[in-house]
Parts: sequence; C-alpha cells; structure tokens
Amino acid sequence: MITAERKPMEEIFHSVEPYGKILLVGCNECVTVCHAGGRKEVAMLASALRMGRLKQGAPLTVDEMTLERQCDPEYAEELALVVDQYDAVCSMACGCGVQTVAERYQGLPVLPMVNTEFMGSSEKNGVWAERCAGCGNCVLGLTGGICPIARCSKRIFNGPCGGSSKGKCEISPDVDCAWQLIWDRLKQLGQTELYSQIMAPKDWRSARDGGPRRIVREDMAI
Amino acid sequence: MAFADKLKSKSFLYLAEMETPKGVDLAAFADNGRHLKGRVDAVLVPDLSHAVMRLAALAGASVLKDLGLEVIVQFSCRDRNRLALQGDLLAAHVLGLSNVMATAGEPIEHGDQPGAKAVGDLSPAEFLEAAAGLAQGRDMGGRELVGKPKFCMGASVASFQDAAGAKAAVDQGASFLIAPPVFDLEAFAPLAAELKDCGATLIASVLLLKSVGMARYLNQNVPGVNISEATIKRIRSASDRPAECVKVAAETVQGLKELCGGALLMTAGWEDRLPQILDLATQ
Repeated sequence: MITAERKPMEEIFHSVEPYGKILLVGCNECVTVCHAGGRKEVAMLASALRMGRLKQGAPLTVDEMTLERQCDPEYAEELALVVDQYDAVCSMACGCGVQTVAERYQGLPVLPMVNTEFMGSSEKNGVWAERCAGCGNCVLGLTGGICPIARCSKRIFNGPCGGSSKGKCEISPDVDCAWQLIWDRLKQLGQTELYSQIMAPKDWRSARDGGPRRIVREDMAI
Repeated sequence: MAFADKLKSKSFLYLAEMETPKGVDLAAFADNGRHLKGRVDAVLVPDLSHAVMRLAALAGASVLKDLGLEVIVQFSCRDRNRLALQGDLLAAHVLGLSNVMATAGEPIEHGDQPGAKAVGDLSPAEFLEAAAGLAQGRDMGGRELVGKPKFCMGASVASFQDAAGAKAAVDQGASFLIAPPVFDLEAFAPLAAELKDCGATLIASVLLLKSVGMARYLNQNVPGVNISEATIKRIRSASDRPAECVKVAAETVQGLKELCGGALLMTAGWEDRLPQILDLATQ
C-alpha cells in the first residue's frame, strides 16, 4: 500500500489560513489502512481545525467527505455536486489522490493534508516499513523476495557494502541489512548460486529516472 | 585579463564552447584550444553535455587553462549530488578554474548511457546558492571551510526558464548569463532588451549549423528554434555548404553585437572551424 502521515498541525493551520470554508476529503483506500486519511482521521482533523480556528477568533467551516478512492476520476467526480460551495478542498489522500482532485477541479485550490511516504507493508500494528521502490523491473525473484532498492540504504545491487555488521546497516542498529536478509533467505531456499551471479548495472529507464511513467493498456481502453 | 574583469569592460566578448574528447587522446582538443589562444575571451567546457559520457569537464578545463586560455567550467546537476557538486566546486578553485556555471543537464535517455540513474539533487538555482555559500566560507551543511574559494558565477537562461528567472539568477550572484542558440536576431531582441541592464553580461549562443538536415532537425525537434527557410535555402544552394554555414554563424555574431554583451560559439564537434567563424565575425 501507499503509506502516509498527517502533516504537522502548524503547517496545516498555515495552509488553510486564507480560507473560511473548506471541504476535507478522505480516501477509503491505502490512507485508511495506514490510519492517515480515512473517515476517522478526517473527522479528527476536522474537529481540530474547527477548534483551532475558533480559538484564533477566525472560525472555519469544515465539511467532511470520504471517497471510495481519490485517485480514481470516477470517484473524484462525486465532489462535483458540492465543491463549488467551498474556498478550498483539503485532501487527506496520498499525492495521487490530491492530484486527481486538483486535475478535475482546476479552479479550486486543493491542499495536501498528509505527507505521502512510501510503498510498504505493515510489520506489526502501528508499524509500516518500505518494501517497494517501484523501479519498474522487479528483481525479487533473484533476491530471495527482499528488495535491495527499497531496503538497502545505498540501494546497491551485488551487496552488501562494508557497512553491514551483525545483520544491521551502518546507518542505524534499528535497520536490517537488506543484503544479510537476502543471503539468509537464499540459503533457506537453497538458492545461494543466485548470490554468486553478478547482476548487471540496472537500467534505470524503467524507474522514475526515465521520466514520468504511464501504463497504457490498449485492451482496456474504451 | 581574467574573465571576471572582462565582464566589467563593456566590450563585446567572444566565447567558444569546447567539448572534451570521448577518451584520453587530447591531441585534437589541445590543438583546437591552441588555435583559440588570444582569440576568445573564454572557452566554455560543457559537463557531459547531451548525456554523452566523455572526459570530465574539470580535467578538460584544466588542460585548456594550462594552455593559457581563460575557461568557464560547467557542472551538470543531473550527474552529481550536493556533496559532489560542492567538492568539485572546491576542486575548480584549487585548479585555478574560478568561472563556473551549472546546467540541469539533458535527459539521460537522450545520451549514450540511457540506463544510467539521474541525480538532480540540486537545481542550477540551488547550485548558485551553494557556490555563493562556499565563497562565503560555508558549505550547504552550514560547516565552515578552511579557506574560501572565489568564483565568477554564471547561469544558463534556459535553466531559469525566462528573463524573470535569469534576473533571479543575477540576484543570486550570476555575473554572466548564457542565452540559448540564436538563429533569428529579431526574435532574440526582446529577451536581450529585457536583460540589458539586469546587472549581468548577457552572452548569446551561436550554434554552427553543419548541414541542411541539422537545421531541419532543430526546427522540428527543439522548442523555440526557428531557422528561416531563407537560411536553409542559402546553405542548400551554396557551392561550399560548410563554408556557408560558417558565414551564417559569423553574421549572427555580428548582428548580436548590437543586442547583447557577447557570443558563445558552439560548433558541436567542428571546433576546428572556430577560427574561421572568428575571422569573419571580427572583420
């Protein structure tokens, strides 16, 4: 999933300062799962904004709405009926959702209320960790199901570097060395020969380095 | 006279771009450099331009400096992060190469190592800020330097989008601005007028057309380029087309003398023609 965290309240108050009536819009997908921008978080932020602005002597009308999926134009369309009533839309979706809404409602300021962090998974309750860098050419089949790009601090192939010690990364004792994990898993799978095969320098065109990416499925196009 | 002092002199400046070789044989590079000695006010050495791997700009610039040329070194923000850019700026000073400027760098996929990873840690604007900070004795991390480098900083107008952006670069310390290649003096005049008193010397690029095909390619593929049909026809109908291309470039340089503070001759591999363009342009 895409993970996110709510922006600091000071920054949020600053960004809504010019407005008197806003629509706070959550998303029922990834940001709900990571407790950053679902219906519950929308309600909490709306209350905090109303109280904060009341205290400042500049009341703010905050209406709440949570879309099924903010990154989908079909669902973003649901805002069309009400959006004209507001000075701004404040989105608690990831950057994809914010941009989908901004693209649809060109004349209206659309402000992000969360910082989109990474593609990751839940390690345990309340802990999410980065797992995929979206490089566009998956190597997990060669690395024991552990991504060296998303999980190695230096994003190196053919690791580890000299900073791996007792299974931990030199940047912090709390960070596992991805290449130690890869080695351990390959041993477990009986695939250590994969480790001894030197991977060629990665072609980064499939990643963000080749420019903004699109997927076009002609079989799906209407 | 140092390039920084020449910028203050009001006379029209002649600059030439010289690409470093793809390899380590410096014979032709140095030979072309020798022919420019005493003929140009500075030589600009691009940094892996067009995302093509070649000899590092710092090394090429150092070679030209040793030949007695005044040199401007470019730094591509595409290929280095802030650590490397600052380190190389210090290196430039130590090597006696104080004229520096950054480019954002062309897209990597247009070059000859299309699978490489782009860096883009700093923009050219942030590069200027970093260089200015170093000159004041502090790095971007706020740490104090042992000894302060001195720079004469420039900026590419294209990197700053337009005249307003270029003026912002001047506010950040750029004392010369390099404008994109000019093929149409009338079209260039408004930009030149807007930047005339901006506090920096505006230097227009003059790209030597090498063929009719190149002119057509530029017209079709490079935004903002409009080489007239008259120019294309003139080159096509000439008995000696390369010589005609040289004349066209020299005439553009002559026209620029009325509009801005200098011309940067770009010959894209035909550096041996630079003296001919200069001969005609300075007549």
